Amino acid sequence: MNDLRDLLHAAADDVPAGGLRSAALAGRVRRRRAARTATRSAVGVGAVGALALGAAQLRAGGPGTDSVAGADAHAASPVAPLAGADPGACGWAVAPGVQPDGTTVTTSAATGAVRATVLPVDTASGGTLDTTVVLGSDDEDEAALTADAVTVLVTSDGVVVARRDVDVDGSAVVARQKPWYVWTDVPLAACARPDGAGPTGELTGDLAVWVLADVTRGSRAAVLLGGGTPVHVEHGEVPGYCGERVADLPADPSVRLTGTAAVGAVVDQEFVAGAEPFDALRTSQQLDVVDPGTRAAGALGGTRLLLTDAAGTVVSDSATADGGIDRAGDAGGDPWVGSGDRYGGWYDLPDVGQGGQLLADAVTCDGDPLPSGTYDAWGAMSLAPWDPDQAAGPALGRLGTVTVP
Amino acid sequence: MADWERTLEVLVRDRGPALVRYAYLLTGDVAGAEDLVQDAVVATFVRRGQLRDPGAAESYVRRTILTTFVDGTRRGRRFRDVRHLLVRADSHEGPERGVQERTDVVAALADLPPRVRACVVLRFYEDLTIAEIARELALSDGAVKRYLSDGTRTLERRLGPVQDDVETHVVGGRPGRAR
Repeated sequence: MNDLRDLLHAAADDVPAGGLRSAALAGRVRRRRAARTATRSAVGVGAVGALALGAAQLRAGGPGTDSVAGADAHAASPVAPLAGADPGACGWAVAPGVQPDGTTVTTSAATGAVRATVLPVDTASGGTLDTTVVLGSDDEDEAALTADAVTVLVTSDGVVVARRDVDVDGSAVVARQKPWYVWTDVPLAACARPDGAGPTGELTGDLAVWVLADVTRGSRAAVLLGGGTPVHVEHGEVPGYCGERVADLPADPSVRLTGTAAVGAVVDQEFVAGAEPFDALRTSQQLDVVDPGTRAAGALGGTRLLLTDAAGTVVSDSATADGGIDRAGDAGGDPWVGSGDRYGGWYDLPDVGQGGQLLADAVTCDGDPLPSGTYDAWGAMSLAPWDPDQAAGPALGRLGTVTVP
Repeated sequence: MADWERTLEVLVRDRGPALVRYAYLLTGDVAGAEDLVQDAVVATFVRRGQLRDPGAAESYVRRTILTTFVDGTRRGRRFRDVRHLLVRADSHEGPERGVQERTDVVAALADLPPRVRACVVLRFYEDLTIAEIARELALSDGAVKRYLSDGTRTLERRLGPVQDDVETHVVGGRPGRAR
C-alpha cells in the first residue's frame, strides 16, 4: 500500500532548486509599490465624481434600459461596440434583450428565481481585480442551480474591454439566504478584439464590472446579466482611498453601516484590543437597509477599515495596507464558499442586517506603523445590487475612534 | 538595503525551494510553481511594507500561494494545462520505479479539482489538521473530510491503494492562525 505522505514528499523533492531570484523579486516589489503610490496620488476628483454620478442617477430613479450600457460612460474617447459580438465577447455592448446570436440576456430583476451579481472586492491585486460572483435565488426553498458558463466582464462606455471566463465547479444548492459564491479575478488589461479596435494595454478610466451567467434552476434557464458596479481604474490598478477626504468618498444613502474598530495585537492567535505592540486593527461591521423602498437587494462584501486624521484625510486604508482576514458572519461553514480574503453576503434584510469582520495590519498608507494618536475609524463595504440599473457607490459609516498610545 | 529587502532575500534563499516544492504539488509543473511563488512573494511584500520576520513572511506567502491557486480562473487554466502535459507512461517495474511513482502521483494530483487537491496537499504534505485546513480554505470540517475522501479515492484509481488517516484523524486540532 502506498503512503500518500511519502509519495508527495518524494515528488516534491524532485523539484530542482534555484528558480527564484531575490533581486528580481525585490525589483518587482519596488515597481509595484511605486505604481501604487503614483496611482494613489493621481486619483481624486475623477473617481469620486464618477461614483457620485452613479448615486445621483439612482436617486433620480435610475437610468432606463438603454443606459444599462452607459452606466460607466465617460466623455473622452468612447469605446465603440463590435458589431455582431456575441454576449460576453470582447467588444460586446452590454445590454439585456435578444442578442445577434439569438440568445436572450435578462437581468436578475426580471427573473427572480435566479439572480446573479458581482462584487469588486479587492482593490490591490496589481493588474487584476478580484471579484466575488454571487448566484442565488429569490425563493425560500432550496433548489439545485447549475451554472454552465459564468463570465466576469469589465466595460468602458458599456462595451466589454476585459473579461474572464470563470471555471465553475458545476452545480450548487441555493435558496434565498443561501447563495453560491464564485471567486475570480479579472484582468485590468484590454482584451483583444477581432476588429482590432478598442483600448489596448492597461485599462484606465471609469469602468464597470458585470457578470454574465448561464444558469438553470429546475425548468427555468436564463442568461443573466448582473452587476454594473462602478470601479475606477488607473493604469491597471484600482486605487485606494489614501489621501482622500472621507467627506468626499462615495456613500450609498439607502444603507447604514455601523460597527466597531479597535487597535491591539494578536496574542496566542487571537486579537486582543488595547494590547501592545498595537500592530493590528480589528473591525466588525453591520449593514442595514434604511430605505428598502428605494433600494434593490443584492450582495455585499469587501469589508474595509479606514482611519482618518483630524483633518478628515484617510491615513490608513486596510484595502491597500493588507489583505487581512475578511469574513461574512454566515459564510464560514458553507462548502461552496471559497477561500481567501473575500466573501459575499446579502443585504436585503432590513430587520436583521448583515456584516463582516476584518483583521488588518495597523499601518499607515505608506506601510509604516501607526503613530500615536487618535483616529476616526470608518467602515466601508462594496455593494452589488441584483438590478444593474441600481448600481451605486459603496456603503460608508463612521465606527468611532481608535487611539494608538 | 531596506528591512523588507533583507527579509525577502532571506526568505528566497532559505525557504524558496520549499515554497516552490509546495506550489509544485498544487500546480503540477515547475514553471507554474515558480510563477505562483513569485507572484505570491511580490503580492505579500507589496502589501506588507514592514515585514522583518522571514517566518512570518513565509506564512503570508504560503497563504497567498494557496488562495491564488484555489481562487479564480487561474486554477482552471493551470488545471487544464497541466493535465495534458502530464500524460503518464504505462506503469512498469524496474530501476526507474521510484521515478515513475513520483510522476504518477503528480499526474494523479492533476486529476483532482483544485480545492480537493489543495486539501490533499495541505493534509498529506503540509501535515495540517482537518480543522486547520478548514480554516485555510474557509470550508467546514465536514467538507474538508469529504474532499479528502474524494481525493484519496480518485488517487487510488491511479496509484492503487493508498494509506491515509482521514477517518481516524481527531477533528478539531489546535487553533489555526489568526491571520
